Amino acid sequence: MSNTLTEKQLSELSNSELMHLEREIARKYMNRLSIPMVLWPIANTLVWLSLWPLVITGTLSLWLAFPIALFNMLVAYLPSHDAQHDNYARPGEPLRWLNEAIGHVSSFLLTYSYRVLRETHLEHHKHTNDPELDPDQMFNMGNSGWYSLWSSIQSYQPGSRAANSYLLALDRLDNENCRRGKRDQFFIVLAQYGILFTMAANGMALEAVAIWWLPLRVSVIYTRYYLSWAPHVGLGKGRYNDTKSFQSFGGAISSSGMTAHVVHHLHPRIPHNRTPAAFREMLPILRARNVDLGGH
Amino acid sequence: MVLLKLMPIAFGAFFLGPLIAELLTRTPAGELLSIDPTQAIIGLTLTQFCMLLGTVYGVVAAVTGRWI
Repeated sequence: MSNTLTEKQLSELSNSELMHLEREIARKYMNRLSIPMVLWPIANTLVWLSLWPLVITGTLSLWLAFPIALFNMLVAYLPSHDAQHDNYARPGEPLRWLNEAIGHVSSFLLTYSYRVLRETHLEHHKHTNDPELDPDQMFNMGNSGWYSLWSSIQSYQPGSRAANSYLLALDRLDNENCRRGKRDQFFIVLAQYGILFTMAANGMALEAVAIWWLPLRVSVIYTRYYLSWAPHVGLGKGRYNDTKSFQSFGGAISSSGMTAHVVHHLHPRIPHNRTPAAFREMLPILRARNVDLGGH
Repeated sequence: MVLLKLMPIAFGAFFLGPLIAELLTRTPAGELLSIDPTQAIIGLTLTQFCMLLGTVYGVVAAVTGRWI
């Protein structure tokens, strides 16, 4: 409907009329299970798991396994992200088990507890860009993308503020999910170290680095840059002011669709693969709302 | 959590050390440095020596709270 109205007409609409149009578009894309988003984590996890026996038995070269594993890690977060927003199924729905299974498995690849990611991410949505309450805010500062890289590296330093950002949010919330998340995180880290040590003890440290450790490090840097820094840096608070669009080298695909992140913040229950289409349809409304669209 | 505080030491000794040894024996880096993996270094094999280096790194990381 917004396509039939000129930008001038849209700019003359009231807040509630614009909201009505925006929700009308969003409704078209949400509340339906996205099959590609179901197949994505299953295929991604199976491919990544298959790399281990293939490399260990010498069937697949390490040089070929590394870029595949890197790709697996780069795309592992988004299905977990959809699960964090209950996009596969809400509590009480028949496919709720699928939502939780995808969330846990995708997060494990990234050596994160799904519960930790969900609780902290929902806090990010509730308090976007709030220096006190948004666990991601401290990663979204600086004048260039180099800050994002620097803060990602900082988050690996055990005593740094960046490393403790999520822990502080979990301690502040202190609900059952947070407590279980912290416990899960402990065992996930132990499991990863156990696997890395076992590989190294058997003369396969290089394989472990190429399939898991190094792709994971690169993936965290990529994820923090495109899913956190680029859409939020330099912005304040407020529904239409806390997230922006941007131009990405390689377009929406290279940024994992994060050029449309602004629509994700407005309507997080739209499955990830449908968000770019919703973004394109909402563009005239977003312009009328004076959202920073980064040249779109 | 004592276990978590000791993680950098375990990581250095049991992963980083063997990894460096593998880098020196299984990649072209070994040829550049002309290292003979069978040769003892201060009475240790190359892997044991690298594990010792990894442990030292881990202790520094654990004490300072910084991996890098």
